Amino acid sequence: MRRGLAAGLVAGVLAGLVGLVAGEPALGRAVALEEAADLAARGPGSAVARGGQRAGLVVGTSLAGLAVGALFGVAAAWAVGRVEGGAWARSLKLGAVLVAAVVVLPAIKYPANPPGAGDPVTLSARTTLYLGLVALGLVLAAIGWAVGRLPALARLRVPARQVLVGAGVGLVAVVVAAALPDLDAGAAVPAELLWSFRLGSLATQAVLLGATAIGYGLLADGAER
Amino acid sequence: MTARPVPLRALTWPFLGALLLAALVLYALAFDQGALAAPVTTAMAEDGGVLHEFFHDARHLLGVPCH
Repeated sequence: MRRGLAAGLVAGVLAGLVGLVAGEPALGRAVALEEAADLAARGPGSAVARGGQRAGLVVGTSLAGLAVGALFGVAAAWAVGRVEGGAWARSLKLGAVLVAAVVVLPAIKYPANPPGAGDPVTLSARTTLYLGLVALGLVLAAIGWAVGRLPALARLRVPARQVLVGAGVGLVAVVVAAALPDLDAGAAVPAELLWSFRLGSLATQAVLLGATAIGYGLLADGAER
Repeated sequence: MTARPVPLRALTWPFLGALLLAALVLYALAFDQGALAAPVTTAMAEDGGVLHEFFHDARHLLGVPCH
């Protein structure tokens, strides 16, 4: 059992790296946009050269992939026997829930901003709210899992149960997100650029998490056979 | 094949380890404003430090509020 855990951790780390390789093309396109935004906002001459920052992007997402992969490995080990389906199905389910809770929910309420769009004065407030919403998304996902296992719901067929719980969690998420304070959107950035950047950001995050789930699922499925 | 759930106790240390790794990495990546690099170099302190500038793009694309 312990060996399985270790394998899960290693696989999670590997999956994080795999996620990066797969995410590269999406990153490249977004960087070009972001660079344009940076030039427009601050002018040339930021402290680290743009080439360095682009390398930093890859290093940064690699490290993030590693961290995400390690956590994912533990979560997947937890899911054995607690989430329905084989290793592959479990991994995909976890990945989908993660993307919804950590990427989609925060992106709807507090979308990513390109450089120069935010007011430095509100930075710490924005950071706190953003992180709070990420944490809330995870808590909601956990609550949804727990509710789905209530004996009262066990008599329902699986699709009915999943729709019911999913709708409930989604509703709560919408209510919570609506209750949180709004933030000023970036005013200084052209709307078209803002939109492109946010799409690129969404793609990057979704690929990072999604590829982690897929990579882990492949490895775990292979180990299960 | 029905797998038995792994007891939560067996997951404690892996979880804490992964959490620690993630906390360190993500802090340096996403939230450091110069504190981590301060013992080594104070260059670029006004812009949030070396780490901030180096990971700048990753920070933005991963959706973390930056500036």
